[in-house]
Amino acid sequence: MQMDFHYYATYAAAYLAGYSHEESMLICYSAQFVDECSKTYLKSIKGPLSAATTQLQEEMADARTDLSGIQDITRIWASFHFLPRDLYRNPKRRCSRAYRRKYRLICGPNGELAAETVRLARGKGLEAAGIAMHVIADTWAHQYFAGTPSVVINNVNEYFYEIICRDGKKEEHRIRFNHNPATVDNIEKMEYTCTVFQNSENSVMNLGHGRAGHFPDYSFARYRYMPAWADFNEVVKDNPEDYILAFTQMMYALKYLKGDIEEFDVEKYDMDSIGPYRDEIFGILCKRQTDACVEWKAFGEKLSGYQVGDFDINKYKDEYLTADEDSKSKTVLGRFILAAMSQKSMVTNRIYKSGNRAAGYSIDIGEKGFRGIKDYARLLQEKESDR
Amino acid sequence: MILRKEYKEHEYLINTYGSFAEARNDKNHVDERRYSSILKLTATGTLVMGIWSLIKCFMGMLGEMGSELIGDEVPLLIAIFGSVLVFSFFFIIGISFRYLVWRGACREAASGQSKNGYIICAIILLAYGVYAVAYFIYKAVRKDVDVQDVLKLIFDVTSFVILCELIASAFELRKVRKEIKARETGGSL
Repeated sequence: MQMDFHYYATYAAAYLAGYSHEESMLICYSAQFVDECSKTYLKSIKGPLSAATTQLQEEMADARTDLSGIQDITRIWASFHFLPRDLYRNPKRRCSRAYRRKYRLICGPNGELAAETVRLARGKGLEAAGIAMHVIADTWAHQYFAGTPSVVINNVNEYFYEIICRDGKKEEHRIRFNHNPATVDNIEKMEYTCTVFQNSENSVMNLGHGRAGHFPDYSFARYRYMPAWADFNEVVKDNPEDYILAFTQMMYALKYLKGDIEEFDVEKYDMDSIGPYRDEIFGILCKRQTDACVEWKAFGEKLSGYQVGDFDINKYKDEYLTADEDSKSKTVLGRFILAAMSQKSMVTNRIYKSGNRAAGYSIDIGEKGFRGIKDYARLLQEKESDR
Repeated sequence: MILRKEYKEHEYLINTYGSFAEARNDKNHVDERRYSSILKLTATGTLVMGIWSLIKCFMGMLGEMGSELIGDEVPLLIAIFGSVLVFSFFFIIGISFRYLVWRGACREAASGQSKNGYIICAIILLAYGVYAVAYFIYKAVRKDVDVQDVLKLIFDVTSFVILCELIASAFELRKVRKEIKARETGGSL
């Protein structure tokens, strides 16, 4: 998903869930900040690099693809952008262990990890809620792709058709992908930019939906294609429908985080609350455009009656930089960093416990004490002070 | 809260935006995609083998030139001219046949145009493969085999297997497509 959904639509969802304008702004800021909080940014604020929630293109180009590098990539992308649906499922055919490990990282909504993500964010502040909203939304947009570099899982071929409804008739058009990063996606000609094919299994070009470019992120996209992992079965993806489910699931989750609902379960959607706005939301989602920020912003402003300011990555930077060491974790960025490390730690632990080393090792502090990456000591200190 | 299952059946979406396409994952459609992918892959393989066979032929010819063709009694110009002729002949035979196979197979895989021309070309190439293997066996019986012959055999057998796979997948693809068409039109095969 892009800024239009992660920022403006999240604002609308938060406001409809009962949060105030200011609270909604903080939630949507955190949701969008997940796409901005790279190691480069964290270096600029002298924050812990383990809290990185994304990798910039420049960082990706420089990323190592040895075991440790792949684990680092997987920790970031699987935790925040491609949350695995089921860590214990097996492919239909017999396969190697290495393949099975990657297959289990395929992203999808309504998984056990998605529920844990929301439950983990409860009582942790609005920043944690924003992170959870980003993760939940991406489980819908990025489903069928995995947050680890893999050609055998993430590759797509020329069997990729966009389905368009015109005058009540369905039309299918083959999508053409090109590898020129200088070109922009052309919706009319159905030409989209994607990463270059690399037959090296662990090439970063094969991370997530890179081989299908930004196309799976567009809310209007309806398409059929053949994922590399599906053994010649095709997948049909209906983004407008999925995005409305994402929106209503976010509202339901936000109500849970606010304390209005006692339990959070997957496969539940707050359809009732969007009743009066359903047509408007569908209108925004179905409109063929690469950026729906203007429409979502107008919708959010109409809901609340307040102006929804544009996303500014440095909005809370000074607050964090000027705070003294002890009170950094009380700032917006400080709380975001802790929530991000908490989410990454939880997902890494669940992947590790499933017998999968794709995201690295996870140590049970209760049994063996604190070991490993020292950044997480801060998270532990915070947890202990909370107790 | 509305559960997904109920939501899926919600008539609102269907009435307003039209029902959405379902994935076609019955056996015939999956087989169609599988065979069409194999056809395209083997067609590319055939072309690549053609380029390799060309290099092989060229290298072989150079070797021959050194030992037999360029003797004291043959002028250099005639030897080069003869070599070019031989080379062109093999080029036309080797590459054009394989190019035709590649083009026909790719068209059939992509658009369903089923023409027999490329299959006939593939069968001719297959016949050459049989000849190459038989010739190797003949040489092996006469104990006249060297390392180069073994390498040629590996190449010819690989090419032979690729062509077999190509022809088989082309026929399977046609069969599957016929079944799909018959089912869609409600007619019998």
